Amino acid sequence: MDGLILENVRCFHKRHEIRLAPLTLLVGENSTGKSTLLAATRLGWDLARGIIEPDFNEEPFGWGAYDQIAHFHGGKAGRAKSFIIGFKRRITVPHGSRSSRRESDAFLVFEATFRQRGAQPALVALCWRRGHSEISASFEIEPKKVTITFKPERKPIIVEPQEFSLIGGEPVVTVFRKVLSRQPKQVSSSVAESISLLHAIVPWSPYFHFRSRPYAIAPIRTRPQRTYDPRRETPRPEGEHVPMILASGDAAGDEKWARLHAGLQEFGMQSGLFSNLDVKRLGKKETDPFQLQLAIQGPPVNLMDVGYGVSQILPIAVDCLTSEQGQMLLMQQPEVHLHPRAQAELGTFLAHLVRTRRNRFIVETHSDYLVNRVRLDIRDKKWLKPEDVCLLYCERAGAGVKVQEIHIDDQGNLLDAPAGYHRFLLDEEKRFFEG
Amino acid sequence: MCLIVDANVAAHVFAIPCGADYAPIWNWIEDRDGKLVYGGRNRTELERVGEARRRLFSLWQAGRAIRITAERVSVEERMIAKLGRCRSDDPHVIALARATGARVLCTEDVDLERDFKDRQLVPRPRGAIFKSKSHWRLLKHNAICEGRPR
Repeated sequence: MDGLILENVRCFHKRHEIRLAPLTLLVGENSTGKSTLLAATRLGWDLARGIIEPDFNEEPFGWGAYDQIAHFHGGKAGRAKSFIIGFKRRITVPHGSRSSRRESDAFLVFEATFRQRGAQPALVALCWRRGHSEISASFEIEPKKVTITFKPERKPIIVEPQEFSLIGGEPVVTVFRKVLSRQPKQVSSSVAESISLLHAIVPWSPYFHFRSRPYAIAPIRTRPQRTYDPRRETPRPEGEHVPMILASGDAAGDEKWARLHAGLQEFGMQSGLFSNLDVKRLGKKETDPFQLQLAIQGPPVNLMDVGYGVSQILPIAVDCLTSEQGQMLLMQQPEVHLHPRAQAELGTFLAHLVRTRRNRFIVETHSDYLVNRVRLDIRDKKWLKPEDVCLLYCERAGAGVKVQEIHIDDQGNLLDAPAGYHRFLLDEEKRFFEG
Repeated sequence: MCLIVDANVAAHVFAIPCGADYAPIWNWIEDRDGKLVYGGRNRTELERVGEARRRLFSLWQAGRAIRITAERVSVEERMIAKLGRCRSDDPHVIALARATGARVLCTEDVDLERDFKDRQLVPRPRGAIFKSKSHWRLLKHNAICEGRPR
């Protein structure tokens, strides 16, 4: 995704088109929509994959029912009658015949529109748009009808609802193709071309950066335990699966584990959190309980006996290092319980992964140390270029919020910081010196 | 235009409280969209001034101060040397203005004031000198100086 689209979602009144970069940092005061942006990113991906009943309350996000999701305008305007979640993606489109093939850049826009049905939001329209071409599907309940519209074609195609029963298991566009293949008379050459184009860019095509679902990490990670029992490694936002990942890796002792261990050790040392991490088995079998032990200065100690910051950052570090190449990870306050040195090092850690594993991160943070480190790494040409980073400042504006991108130059300078950015800190500094 | 602060007034400009004459600068930087640019020898000189040194990092952090590399300033200094018109001993300040587009200078150096207003040294928009609160109208930020999005 190169950009997120929100309209009338929670505090996002009107249409917002928000750029996303390989490393996107969301900053701003509390309750300014930062977590909403994270959740919307994952929802947009789900919708594009054909999930027409997305879970708006899947952990670690909880958007509530329709009334909690649709923006409230206030007064007579009341609640928004619909809301939109979508994204933009830059694509390269081939043109011409094989002998004279050329390519051009374009933006693909995907939007999903929801209205209220009972207490919940219900999908009423999907739309894929590129330039003047558009394919959209609208869903009606009474009578049950699905209408596919192609622009610039004029006549819409009415589809039997049962043909759309496949949606949820396949991308919508694949369903379009199947439906239209049964109605050849209605398929003009331009429609067929549109379908082929869209089929070429469904989420698992090479035109998309990431093939795995964006992975969301919870704002507060699970409490450490002195001893762990072996269990399934089902990923959980709070990181309960991480000890088992470490235990399994240690047991396997393969190259994958060596890389993970080395990555953790490097981060631990640079951040000052630990110099080594090991798994201590309390028996000889893999089914026996185990403990996680860290070396800081001196002999190894149990995870329970070191600072809370280690157990909070460990799931994040492990999830990042074990993610698929190119996967997007969504984080809320990864810096919590970390000393400023470790917060800064986390910035370098994420930047390094963007460059070496093509991961994409959207990070909601209150840490100036993390942001400053990213800026300095840009200045010192370590890992990232200015265009790899997007600093999004969220601030309250009337009944809603405003999102402004603050551009960073090759010296790490912020070029267009608005008056509200860091205003509180400047006021505190002035207060200090005036005392 | 973005603002350049000459080292000879830095202790007064960056002091808290700064005095009535420089208060409009901080209203503009802290409360609106004002930007300060510094770099090259100007940066070295400012960082020797205790008050300036303490505040520059927080201003940079907040996006209110933009730091330019010494190399970019040096390129402009060589151009200024070729012109042969600089009367002050602060060609680095003129170079900073040329490199960044900043056109408001805070100084009490008469020769530097003259150079800063010389259109052949500091091309359009014309350089202006901020000396007191009566010059508050000079404090406006626009896309010409370095603080512009790329």
